[in-house]
Parts: sequence; structure tokens; C-alpha cells
Amino acid sequence: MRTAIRRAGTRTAWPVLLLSVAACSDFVAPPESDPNTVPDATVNQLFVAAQATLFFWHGGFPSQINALWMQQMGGTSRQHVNFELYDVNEGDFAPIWDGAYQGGGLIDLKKAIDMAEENGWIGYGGVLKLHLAYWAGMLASFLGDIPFSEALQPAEFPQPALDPQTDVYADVQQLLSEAISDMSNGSGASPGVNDFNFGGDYDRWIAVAHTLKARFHLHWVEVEGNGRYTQALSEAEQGIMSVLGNWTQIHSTNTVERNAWWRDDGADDRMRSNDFIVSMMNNGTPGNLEDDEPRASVYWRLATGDFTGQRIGHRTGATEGDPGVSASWINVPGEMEYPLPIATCSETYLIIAEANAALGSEAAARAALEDALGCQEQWWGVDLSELKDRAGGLAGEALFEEIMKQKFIGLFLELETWNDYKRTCLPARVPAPGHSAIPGRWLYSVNERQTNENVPPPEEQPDRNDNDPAPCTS
Amino acid sequence: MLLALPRYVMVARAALTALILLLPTASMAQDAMTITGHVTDENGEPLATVNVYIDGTDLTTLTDTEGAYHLVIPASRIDQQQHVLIAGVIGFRSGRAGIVLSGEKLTQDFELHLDPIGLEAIVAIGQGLTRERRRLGSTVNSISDIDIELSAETNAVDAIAGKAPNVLVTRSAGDPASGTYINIRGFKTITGGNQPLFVVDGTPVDNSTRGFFGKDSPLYTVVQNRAADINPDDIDSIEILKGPAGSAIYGSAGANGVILITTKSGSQANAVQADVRFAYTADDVTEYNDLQTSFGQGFGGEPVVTSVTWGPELDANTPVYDHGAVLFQMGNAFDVNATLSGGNNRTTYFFSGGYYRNNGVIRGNGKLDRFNIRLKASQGFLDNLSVSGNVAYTNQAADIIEQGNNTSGILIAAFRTPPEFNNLPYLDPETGLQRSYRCETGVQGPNCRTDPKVSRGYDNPFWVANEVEATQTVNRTFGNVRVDWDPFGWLNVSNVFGLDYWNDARFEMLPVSSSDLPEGWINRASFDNTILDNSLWITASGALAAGVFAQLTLGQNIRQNDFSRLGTAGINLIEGGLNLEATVDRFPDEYTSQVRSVGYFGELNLDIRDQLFLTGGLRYDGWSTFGGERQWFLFPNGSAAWEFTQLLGGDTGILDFGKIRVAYGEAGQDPPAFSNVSGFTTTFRSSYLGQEGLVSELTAASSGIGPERTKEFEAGLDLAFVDSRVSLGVVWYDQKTEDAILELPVPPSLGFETRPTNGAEFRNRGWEFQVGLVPLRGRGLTWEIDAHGGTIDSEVLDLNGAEQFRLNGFSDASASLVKDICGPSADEPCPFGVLYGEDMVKFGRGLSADVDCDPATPASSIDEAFPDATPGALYVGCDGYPVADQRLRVLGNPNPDWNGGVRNTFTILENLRVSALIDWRSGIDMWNGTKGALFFFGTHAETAEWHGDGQPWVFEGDGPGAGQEVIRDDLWAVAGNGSGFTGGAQFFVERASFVKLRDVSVRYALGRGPVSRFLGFSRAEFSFTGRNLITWTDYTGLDPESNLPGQSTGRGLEYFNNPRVRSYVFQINLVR
Repeated sequence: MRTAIRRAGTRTAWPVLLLSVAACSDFVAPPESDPNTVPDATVNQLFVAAQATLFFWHGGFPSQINALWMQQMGGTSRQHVNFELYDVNEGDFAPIWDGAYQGGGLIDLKKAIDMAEENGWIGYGGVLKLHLAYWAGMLASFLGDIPFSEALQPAEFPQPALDPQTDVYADVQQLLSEAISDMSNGSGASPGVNDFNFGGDYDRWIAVAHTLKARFHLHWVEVEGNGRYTQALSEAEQGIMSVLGNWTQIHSTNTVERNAWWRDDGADDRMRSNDFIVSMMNNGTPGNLEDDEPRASVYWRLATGDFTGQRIGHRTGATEGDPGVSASWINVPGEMEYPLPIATCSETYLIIAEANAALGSEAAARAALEDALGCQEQWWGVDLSELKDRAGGLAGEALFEEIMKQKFIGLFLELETWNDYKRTCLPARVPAPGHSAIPGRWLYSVNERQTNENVPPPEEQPDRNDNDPAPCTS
Repeated sequence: MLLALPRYVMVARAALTALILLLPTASMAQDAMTITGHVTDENGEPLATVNVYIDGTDLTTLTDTEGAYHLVIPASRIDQQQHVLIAGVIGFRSGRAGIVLSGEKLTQDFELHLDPIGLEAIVAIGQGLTRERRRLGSTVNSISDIDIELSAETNAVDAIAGKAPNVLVTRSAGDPASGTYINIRGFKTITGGNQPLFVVDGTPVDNSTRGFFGKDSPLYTVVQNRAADINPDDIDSIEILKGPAGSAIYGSAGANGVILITTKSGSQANAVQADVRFAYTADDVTEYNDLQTSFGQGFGGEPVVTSVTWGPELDANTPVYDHGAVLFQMGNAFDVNATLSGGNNRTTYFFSGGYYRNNGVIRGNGKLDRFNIRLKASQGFLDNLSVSGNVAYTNQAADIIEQGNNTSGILIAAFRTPPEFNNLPYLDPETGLQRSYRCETGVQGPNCRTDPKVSRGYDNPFWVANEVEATQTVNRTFGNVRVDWDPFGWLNVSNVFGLDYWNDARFEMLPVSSSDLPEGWINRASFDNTILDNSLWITASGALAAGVFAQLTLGQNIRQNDFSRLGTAGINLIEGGLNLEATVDRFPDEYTSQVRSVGYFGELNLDIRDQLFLTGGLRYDGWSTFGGERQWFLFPNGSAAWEFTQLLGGDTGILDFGKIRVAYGEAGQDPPAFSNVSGFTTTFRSSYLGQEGLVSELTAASSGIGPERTKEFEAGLDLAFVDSRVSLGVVWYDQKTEDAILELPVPPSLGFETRPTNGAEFRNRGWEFQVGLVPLRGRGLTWEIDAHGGTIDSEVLDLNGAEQFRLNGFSDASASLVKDICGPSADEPCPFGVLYGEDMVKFGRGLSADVDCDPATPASSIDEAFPDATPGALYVGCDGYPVADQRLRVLGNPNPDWNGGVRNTFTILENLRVSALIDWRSGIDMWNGTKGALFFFGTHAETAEWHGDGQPWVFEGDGPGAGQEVIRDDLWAVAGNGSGFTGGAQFFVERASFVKLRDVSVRYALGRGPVSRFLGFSRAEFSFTGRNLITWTDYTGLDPESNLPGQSTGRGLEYFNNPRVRSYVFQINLVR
């Protein structure tokens, strides 16, 4: 019996099985591609998706949290109540941090830049560099040190180091300079219709690049002084000079292409207007529409409920007797297709105004302020001549304060408002109850902190960034 | 290469072929031999479906309902030698009789004695192999058809609940189409789902759970597990191979254990049997979060227009509504199954058909229809060749009600409604549009009453139940064809080819005005899954020497699984539209995958002097998902069992049976498809404004991924005393999963989210015991007690550098894998799948806060400021309230420390059987997210004390505000950390240990008496089963077995899940 088993097993079965193993290796060969993905992408495809990602990044949570902390909006329900009170954790920042680096974000801009260079599309590469520089610069403005020089290179740097904020800014300025140079060259294929803002008009993008360079110089004024104002002024004077040159989010009425602030009338009660800005735009009695400045009706709808017919805002941290969810919802900026600005002529002129005011050129500052209001008139379709007239009579601190006030109002829901406040502490405002200051930085994403040993836990992260060491006190 | 085979091999093969061809011819020249007889229990009652077979051969048959059997011995097998005829069935010790296969007709009756722990029953052990239980070295738990029948469950997996130690079965919700989760001896995988392999009659069948539209988790509707397509009425027995020590024969598919299902067959006893079973079930909702009915909409005690219910106390005359109770009704279900079976010594057949209808407990659309048919037949063509076939078809159609984290979910809609708002009628009588409290009270603005495409904030729950649609239609066919050939008495060749195909068509519609998508939404998807599986095995058996019996099995398994999903979502529904054509924006979604595997297996069993049983085996697997250079992997197993009482001469009078055993095995889990490649993909917005766009995938490619490997060692002791009236089984097991595949989170700054990789490591250790007692045994009354218990101590040993990995849930509260922060010391391993989320500042974590109550000064260490504070104690801030921690923390452990069950069964006058099962799990934590949200809204019953002037409260802890009395009120709920929406997840993690009266059943059987004859049946049985009748628990939410993400590995999450039910089942079973 044993012999029979041995013969049957060893001499017959094993050779057959070994043959089968060889044949079956092909049967279980791993797939060379995933049919559910596209193996390669083009520069145009990556740029289109990167723009869309940027629009919804810019207009999404960053816009919300900045608007809450800057008291343009009030948190009236759910998490937004806590956000308004600076009660945030590292999980809250995960989507915006992760989304900035991952597919549609910096990784794809980097791939597109490499591909554009390979193709010899110099001008196109400049546009892509501008986008990358903007995104990285804004992240650095909110978070200080960020992975940049070692980012997006999994094989070489699986744990990217945090570059000091100052280095990131230097790299961003360098990238913007390269972008200007590349776009000035302009050779190679153009983004054309894939460029949703300017259709491949490099001159417009070069102006945007100068405005961004000015903006990022401004961010270091607090620690480096007037030298940066001088650099900002120099760049801003080459920046966006017309609303036609505004870089904005582009939206449509398609369901997934609508402005992130768009809400069906009252569909979301998590945020409402903030009393701080609503009052600022009211020249007389709160709630008296006749006293409201012209932009108020563009910014705010009339309240409902107990405050029906008024323009009224929620007060930060207040609950008892507060209008809360009955307060005004945003009007035009909340429309489906509203192109929330990213960089504008209004900002450019206000940079010029601020720099000139700081450098003692008050006449130039007043003129720039009036130009900025002119940009806003065109943008909002209102008459701001009263404000322009008032600007013409201001000087000294009052002029500087007015410039920052008009920037605060004019850059409604834009991200730069917080950086302006961190730098100038204007317009002055009272922090949320229980706090001596408005936060000076975001937290790193929990996902980055848990996977990158270079990122400290929240309790060890600094309260403020290197470019903004001093908190504003009320 | 075949031509190159040595000449002697070619000659031997030719000779073997000739011999085989001659065998049937030779057999026809002689007459067959028949052995007949009856098998009864010790009271003389006939025993049906007893396996009667000649030891060491494939000659086998089953008894009929009269206990009669008829075994035909082909003439070719008549050898004039002494053999052992064995009659065995689960629950009885085998009967043995020496016989000579002489060719003469033979009659042999058997009287079987009870065998409470089934030591001598024949059990399936996988890949077509069976073994007598007493010879097993690894643990196999068995569940008989009577257990399945009396549980009266309609999902075969539910029937396993509470019947074996460390086999944790939980039904996710009470919806008719909800799924059931099963876990055996803890979690071994992250990506693999932790569900055991299901094998029906030798062919693996799919038991996957697919999210409703391929979403990561079924947070929006319950979803069935596909084993729900198996008709429980068709099941003859279930064997549970609990881990790699027993399931290694399945190699890289067996790590999570194997559920071996043997379906019913026709009898060879020349009898035709018809069987009809009717069942009626009444279902009743069990627990859910209680609501307050004293305070109305508003805030600060004022009736302001808002979404929350922190308004004034309601006037006594104000009508109020319990928004939970009004939604539910007594559900009902009916079930009819009929079978026709029979056969003779060559042919058997079994045909069954069934229809099941369940009208759910929610007033509205939730219901399920299921239709099953099945045919199993076998035919002996030659004396040594038989072919059997088995095909089942199932059609299921379900209407499902939206639940969970979804503003169109029914309980979100209901429980957030202020008590004074009547949700009926759900349509506005004037406009015909949906009413909801936020719309009618003006929270949503002036347009929502007149404009249909405006959100209501939350939908009206009755509108959800009646107007929102989610349907699922499954058509499934599975079965196999098996060929058994015995070319020699000592050699068996078997081949099973199996097919499992299902199509799952899904449709979901949120009509215009839905709060989730007010412009309306339609999603239609079709899922297709096909598994082709072929197993070939050759078994040689015989005596190697006196008292040494050997069995060698060699085999091959080849398998291909094709899956595809094709769906389209349509957004912005044209008013009145009911299908995708009537939507403005459409988003297609397509996915397809193919996974192939080949496995070679071999197993050698040695039976030494009928007391020492040794097994050694190997499995060699190749999978297309392994990728790269590592294409094939080896999985070994081995076991030894020693029946030491044989040394004592068998039954000693006190100790009937004693066995010690050890087993070791390795099994695995293959990687997800396409782990080795990466590309670009589309998202909702990658293509934009008419221009095409692509984004990089979030998952980085990873080459060279191998299987996860779970290694298990187990040791056991099985004892039976006093004529088997007392039995005891104890098992210790230790299993470790190495190279677990992890979608390793990578720094987002690399541009990716995850990279699949081997490298995580888990461990599960624990004890299991089973005790059987027969305190009373007699014709008038038999009392049996079966108790079992188990522990699973799990540890996450390595996450390949990751600190946390979310299995399921939300950012503020999730079920996650977390490494090394679960005890007083920082390197204490965490159990698998802990609850993880937002916490408060606590001592011992090195945190800083405003300890000197001066916001102008920097925060400083709380541990240094309050050195006497207990680590883990709450830090109470300057205002007397806790302070939110910025870092997410481990909040609890949803895994039981201990699980167990006790079943008492009384058999009275042989006809009446009464049985009850108590099920117990302790040490469970659960996140009551529903309660957390309802605290925000002020509708939860416990917030009643917070209304008005609030509830004076002192937070236990240390810090500058310790001992200070504060108020828990609407401000604490809405703007403080007092609700689940505002950062207080840790306040809503509750202890959810429970003791459950799992089932109570009473069955009365009418034997072959005048009543049965009058009814025209040979037997009639009437039974009542109560399921999930009572749950004793401190948990304040739903039944603590419910889970928001259904069958996900992430457990312990409640967030507006639909509740579970208790059931009362009445059955009549008529047999002819």
C-alpha cells in the first residue's frame, strides 16, 4: 500500500502539479494597469482639475474659518459655533491641508510644471508656477513652517521636513519671479480655453504674479519693517490695475460648479453675518437701511424671523438675545456663480495705499485708496463716491485705519483679510469671549501630524508664525 | 514536457488507465450487497439523517425519517473482509458494528446514545474533507439543522448567533434588508473585512457587503451581507473552522475562519418526503434614545425661530408627540418553505422552494421579499463513479429606509423635531409640498413652503419613509457540480466546479425638496459578481501498519472572481421626473476588477492505534493581487490529538472520554485588487466648465504586496464524564497576524493619502470553554444545559509607522486602529478598533492650559500646576467647565472582554421541547452619537433637566475650577462642549455591556398518531420562537449590538441608525 501511495503520489501527482504551477503562474499574473484609472494625464487635464480644486479650496473651509475669526461671519450652529470661538482641533484642518497637497493640488501642479517644461511650453509653465506659488505661500502664511522643498517626493523624502516659513516665502518669491519670466517669454502652447480666468492671456497673469509678490512681501512687514513695504510697493505698481484683471474663482450653475458659499435661501444655518462688519457698514442706527453704506445691500440679505426686514449680524460669542440664525445671510457673494476673488485690483491698490501710508506718502496713499474703491465700485456695481470723498480728507493714523478698514470690507470672504489683521491689528476688534487674542495660525492636519514625525503635536505647535510674532490685543 | 516523462511513468499510467477501465466492467459481473437497518435513540425513537457508512471508504448513506437506512455495496467492493459499519449523527455517539462484506444481505440496527459535545460526529473540515470530531486536533464548532430551524432566522448568519464561543454575530439593524456581521476570534485584517470564508457544499460563495453605491461605508442605508441569499431552510449543518489552526487548508483565504455549510440532501432510502413549513413573525422595535416632550422650539427658554428645542416649557394643553413611537409599528413577516426529497441507492434528489416577506417596523416603505428555489441531486453512474449537482436561485427585492448621517435619514428627521410639532400630515394640504418643522417655523427662510427645490433642513420622517426611495433587487445563482470517482478502494478522486453569480440592481431617489439634495437626486447602479471555482483533490487512504491508518490528500483549487459596478447619479430632478432621463446633471461611475488565484494543497493524516491523531498539511497559493516578485506563498498547518482515555480502556465509569490536542496553522488574506498600480482619476469637479480634467489618485502604487499571514496556535482539552452527562471543552488560542495589509496613511504633503503595504501586526489571544450538562435524562423529561464562553484579548502591535488608522465613523468619533496610547504608559498596546475622537484636556498627557486663569499669560503645564491630580482625570478650567483637547484621543473599546451563552433545553414526553438561550457580552463601549446630537438640539430626554434654569453640576476632576458649581444648560449644549456637535464626543461614549435573552423556543411535535394521520401528514410540528426578547444593559441608546456602518470592521458606532427588533415567530412544520 505504501508503495502504491508513493508511486501514485511522487511519480505521477507531483510532476503533474509542478507542470500546473508553471501554467498557472500566467493565470495569476498581476495586472499591468488598473482599468478604473487613466494611466497618463496631459498638462491641460491637470491644470483644469487644479484650478477647480483651488477654487473650492479657497472658497471653502479657509474662507469660512477666516470669515469667522475675522468677524465677517458668525457661527450660529454646529461646529461653526465652536470655530467662531477658536475651538478647533487638528482634525478640522485635515481636509484643507490634505486637499492642498493631494490630487488636484500641489502634486498635480508640480507634475504639470514638469510636463510643461518637457514639452517646452514655457509660458504655460509660468501660469502653473504662479498657481503653485500662490497655494504654497498662503499655506505658509497660515501655518508658518510647512513641507515644501521635500514635499511631493515619496521616494526621496517619505517624511518631508518642515521648511522654515522664511524659506518657503523665499521659494515662493523665486517661483513667482520665474513665472513672470516664463510668461514674458510666452513660448510653447498656451493654456487657451483651459485657463478659466484669462484664456491664456499672459499679461493678465503677469499682473497677478506681481500682486501676489506684493502680498507676500507685505506678510513680512511686521518683523522686517519698511523695506518690505518698499518691495511690496514696487511689485504692486506692476500688479492688477483693473477689475478685468481680477483673479477669481469661476463658477457656473452646474450643481457641482457652484460657488462654495452658495446656499439655497436659508438652507444652512451654521453661519450668518457678523454684527462687527454689519455695524461697520452702517453709518447710523443699526438696522436702519437708510443709513447703510451702498455695499451693504450687495453683501447682505434682509434678516428673517424676529428681525425680519433688517440687516443685522450675529455677535461673536453671544447667544442670549442674539439674532443668531435669524441674522442676515450673504446676498451677492452667496450667489451660485459669484466669482469670489483670489487677487484683485482692489487689493493691489490697497497694498499701494498701505505701503505709501506707511512710508509717509500720504497723497499717493489717498489716491490709491480712491482707486481701490473705484475697483470696488466696478466690482459691486455701486457708487462709493461718498467713501472716496471721505478718503480724500484723511491723513495720518486715520488714513491708515481707513485703508485697512476698506480692505477688510472690500476683501469680503477673501483669505487675505486675516493676514492683514495679523500684520496691522486693524480694524481693531474684540476677540471671542475667554480669549485675549484672535488665533495667529491654523493647526497642522491630524493626518500630517500622525504620519510625519517632523510635525509636532498641537500642544507643541507655536501659537504664532515667524512673520507675525506679536498678537493683537483688544 | 510531457513527452520527456520517463518511460516507466508512461507505462505505469497506461496500466493504471487500463485497470480503471476494466473495473466497472468487472463489477457488472457480480451482484451488489445491501445492508439495511434502523437507527434509534436510547428511547427507541427513530433518528433521521444519520450517516451510516463503512469506515475508511466512501460507502455511505443516510437514514430517513423513520430511521431506516439502505446501504448498497457495489459488487466490485465486496472483498470478504472484516469492516466496521458506523452510524453517526451530531448529538449522538456513533454506533459501530463489525461486518463482513460477503455479498450476503445484512441487517444491522443501531441504538445511539447521546453525545452532548458531538465527539464522534462526522464533521466537515474543508476542501471536501470530513473527520470524526474526536480525531480533530483543531477546534470546529457545529450547528445542527434543529438549532437553525428553531432560531427561525431568515439570514443564515443570524442563526449562528450565540451558539459558539468567540463567534460574535451581530445584526446591524432591524430593517428587513439589514445585514449581519460575524467575527471569529477577533480581528485579523484591516482591508479584508474580517468576515470568514463561506463555503457551501464545497464551493466558496460570496458574503461581501457592498455599500449602497460603492460608498466607503453604508452610513446612509443598511446593506445586506450576501450570505443572506442562502435559504436557512436548505441548511443541514454548519461547521465553523475558527482560525488558521483549522482553516489553513484554505491558505490565503482562510485567515478569518471558514463557515462550512452543508445543505440538505435527499435520502437514499427509497422514500419520498414532502415537508412544508409556515412561519409568521411579529416584530417589535427594541430600544432607542428617549426624547423629552416638555419643552418646545426656541433658545434660552424663549420661543425664537431656530432649529433647536431649547424653548419654553410647553403648556399642559399643548399637544406633544413622541417622534420615535409614532414612526414605528408592529412589523410582520411570513415565510413558507416546501421541500420534496427522496432517492434510491443510485439517485437522490432534494428540491426546495420558499418565499419570505417582511414588512418592517417603520411605517413606510421598508420591506423585503425573497424567493428561493434549490435543487440538489446525485446520480451514481457506475459503481465507482457518481455525479452530484446543486443549484440555488434567489431573488430578493428590498425597499430600504434612509438612516444615519444624512439629513434625509429618518431618525435625524424625527428625533430633532420639537415635541410640539406634528409631522403629520407630511405633505402640506395647500401646496402638496413636504412639511418639516424647520420649514414651517421659518428657520429655512420664506421660500421653502412654496418653492419645492429648497431644503427643509431636515426632511419630514414620514416623507422619508414614504416618498424617499432606496431599493435593491438581487438575483443570485450559485451551485456546483461534483464528480466522485473511486478507481480503487483506497483512492478517491473528487472534483467540484462551482459557480456563484449575483447581480444587485440598486435605485435611490431623493425627490425634489429633500434636505440632502433639494433639487432632487436619482442614483441607479448595477453590481455584478461572478466567482468560478474549481477544486480537484485526490485522497488515498489505508493502513500503513498494524494500528496505523493513513490518509493523504493532494489537491488543487483554481478561482476567478470578476466584479463590476456601473452606476449613474443624476442631480437636479426635473419636476415630476422619476428616472435618470429626468435629471439635469449626470455623473457616471464605473469600476471593474478581476482577481485570480491558484492553490495547491496537501494533507496527511495519521491515526495511530485509534488514539493518537496527527495531521500535517501545506497549501501553496498564487494570487493575481500579490503583484510584483512575490507571487506564491506557502501556508503550513499541523495538529496532534491524543485520546488519552483509550489508554485507560475507554470509558472508566466516570471519565468517558478525554482528549488533549494542539494545533498550529497559518492562513492569509490577499491584497485588494490593483494595489500595484496607480494612475489618474476623475472626481466630481476634475472636469470643469466643460473642460476635461484628471487628478492623481490618492493611493500611491505599491509593488510586491504579499498576503497577510495569520499564525495561530491552539491547545485544547475535551472531557466527558458520567455517560456523557457532563462534558467540558477548554481551548486556549494565540494568533498573530503579520504583514497585515494596511492602506498606510502617508504624509499628505507627499501628495497621497495612503500607500498599500504589508506591515501591520495584530495579536488575539484568549480562552474558550464549552460545558454540556444533562441534569435529567429520561423518557418523561430531559434537561440539557449547554454553556460556552470566550475571551478575545486583541492588541495592535504595529501599524507600520502610522499612529492611527480610521476604520469607520466620523472625524470627531470613529472606530480606529491606534498604536500605543491605550494605557497609563505611552507604549501600552491598544485593542483593535478602539473608539477614537474628540476629548477633553486630561491630566497625565503633558498638556498645557491657562492654569493661572489669566488669558494674557502663556498657557502652562497642567500636570506641573496640579501635581496631585490623577492621570486621566478631567482638567476643570477656570470657569468650572472642562476644556477641549486639541488632539484626538482613544475614548473607549467596543470589543467585549468576555462573551458567553447558556442554553437550557427541556424535552418533555419526547414531543415538547422548550429551549432558551442567554447571551452575554461584557466590557463593551459604544459611542452614542445620536444622544450627542440630540443634546445639541435639546430633544433628548436627559436634556429635560438642562432646560429652564439648567442643571447645577460640578465636573469631577482637578484644576483651577475644580469643585466649582456650574450650570449644564442650553449654552453648554449649543456653545459649550456639552453636545456631540460641539466637541464632547467623550461624554457620549457609554458602557454597553449586555445580557440578552437571545431566544426562547417551544416546539411541540405530533408524531405518527391519529392527529397526524387525520391531517394527512406523518409528522407535524408546532413551534414558537421569541428572538432578541430582552436586553439588560446600561447603554442608553439603541440595542448595543447595532452598528451604524453595518458589517464594517469599525464597530461600536451609533448615529441615528435604525433600531433593531424583537421577534415572535410562530411556525408549523408538516412532514409527509
